[in-house]
Amino acid sequence: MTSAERAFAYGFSLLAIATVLSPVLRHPDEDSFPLSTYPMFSHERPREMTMVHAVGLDAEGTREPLPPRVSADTREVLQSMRTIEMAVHGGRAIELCREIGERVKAREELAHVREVVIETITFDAVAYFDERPPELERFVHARCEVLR
Amino acid sequence: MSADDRAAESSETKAPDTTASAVESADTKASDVKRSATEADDRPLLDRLWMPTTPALRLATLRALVGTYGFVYVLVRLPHLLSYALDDVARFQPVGPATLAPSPTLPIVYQALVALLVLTSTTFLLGFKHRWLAPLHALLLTWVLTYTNSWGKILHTDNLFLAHVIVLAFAPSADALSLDARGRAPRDDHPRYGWAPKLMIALAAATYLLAGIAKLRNGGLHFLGGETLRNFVAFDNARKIELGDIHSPLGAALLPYPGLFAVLAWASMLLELGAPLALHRRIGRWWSLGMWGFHLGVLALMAIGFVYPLSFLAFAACFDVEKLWQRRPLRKLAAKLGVA
Repeated sequence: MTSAERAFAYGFSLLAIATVLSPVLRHPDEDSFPLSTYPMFSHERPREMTMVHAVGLDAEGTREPLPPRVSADTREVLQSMRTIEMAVHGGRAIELCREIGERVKAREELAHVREVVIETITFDAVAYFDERPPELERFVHARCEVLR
Repeated sequence: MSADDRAAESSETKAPDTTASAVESADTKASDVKRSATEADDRPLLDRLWMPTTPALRLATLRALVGTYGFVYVLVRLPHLLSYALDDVARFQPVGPATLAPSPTLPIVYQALVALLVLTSTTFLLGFKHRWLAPLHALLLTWVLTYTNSWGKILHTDNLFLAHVIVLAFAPSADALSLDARGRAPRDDHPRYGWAPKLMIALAAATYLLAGIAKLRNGGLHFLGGETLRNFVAFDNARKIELGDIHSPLGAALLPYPGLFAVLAWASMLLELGAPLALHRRIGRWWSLGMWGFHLGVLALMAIGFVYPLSFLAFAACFDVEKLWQRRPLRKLAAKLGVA
């Protein structure tokens, strides 16, 4: 092995390891990519959970959560939630609601959906799976009709 | 010029095998292996540990495995990658290298970069013009994956895959099993092929160690009680249902058994904080099996698939992967590729 190869191997290795470990110097919640602190599952997680989502309502008022493709035009479930959150916090909930309505209209399998609602729900995540789960607490941000 | 330099030079300039010199070549190869072993014994301890004499085929096989994964992954995820050809400034939240860009890349430029990534994924897999095209591939992959994570939500599924591609791109991983190596004499086992697999293991260990440290820093020892993990499983599955996605019925069914989650919490914390031990060859193999089991558990309980670790390729560097070519299903392919 030439001395240049040896120096490169050590230099590159040290640099790579130091770079990947460097997020340890940041606050654990300061996440980034490709260098991450890997904060997922690291915080204490209370049972009570609050989240924002988009649901479709049929003629009887039955709620059906809308999949990421419909709610945010993405395949990524977390990305869809983030998109809805950003729209709600940015005061654009009603615009997003109408966009979702357009996507609902284009989907045959959602032909029964009459309305779209963007709402924040609060519930006990463990009790959610009980045989008789308690009612979810809801706060509606936007509600719009699916115009067919 | 040092003795090492001269030995390396003689190894680089060795003539290709011919039928007439096959016996002589075999003898030379045997003596080279012996010489390499002797040299390895004489080297400083750190050199022997970090750059063990390793077959070129092992590093090349790692490139082929990670390259195949990357090629398939990029093709399968193409619609997803292209869905980020956006100019929505309001949604753009750049992270990492993407912070260098003040605004979203022009959609047409981004689409061109993704197309180029498909091309370099192919050259990386085939080991074509590796010295120049592999670093370009690493750069493109870094940009495209960073860009897709710059829209408000950071995912943690590609970090280790990207790190491994970068290592393989800058290592001599196309000295065998590649278009570049076609027609060349097989390379002898050599320390220059040893550091990259070690580094791949070290980087895998570093990412899991960071995850363990984050748990300790954010939640202290509370995580070990299991309640946090149970709440996460409940939270994640409920969230998936309410976002219209697939959830894990198994995770939901196990929620009434908190003791099980305490055991799982201890196991995951031990695997994460003990990750640096993976650099020990034998421990590393058991650790990689443990980590793989951990990801299977996450998939079963939360329907979260970390595809790269689940494929086991994230841990392939812990094993003598070149021996895969001796297995029956791959023997014919190995003969065709000239690695039999």
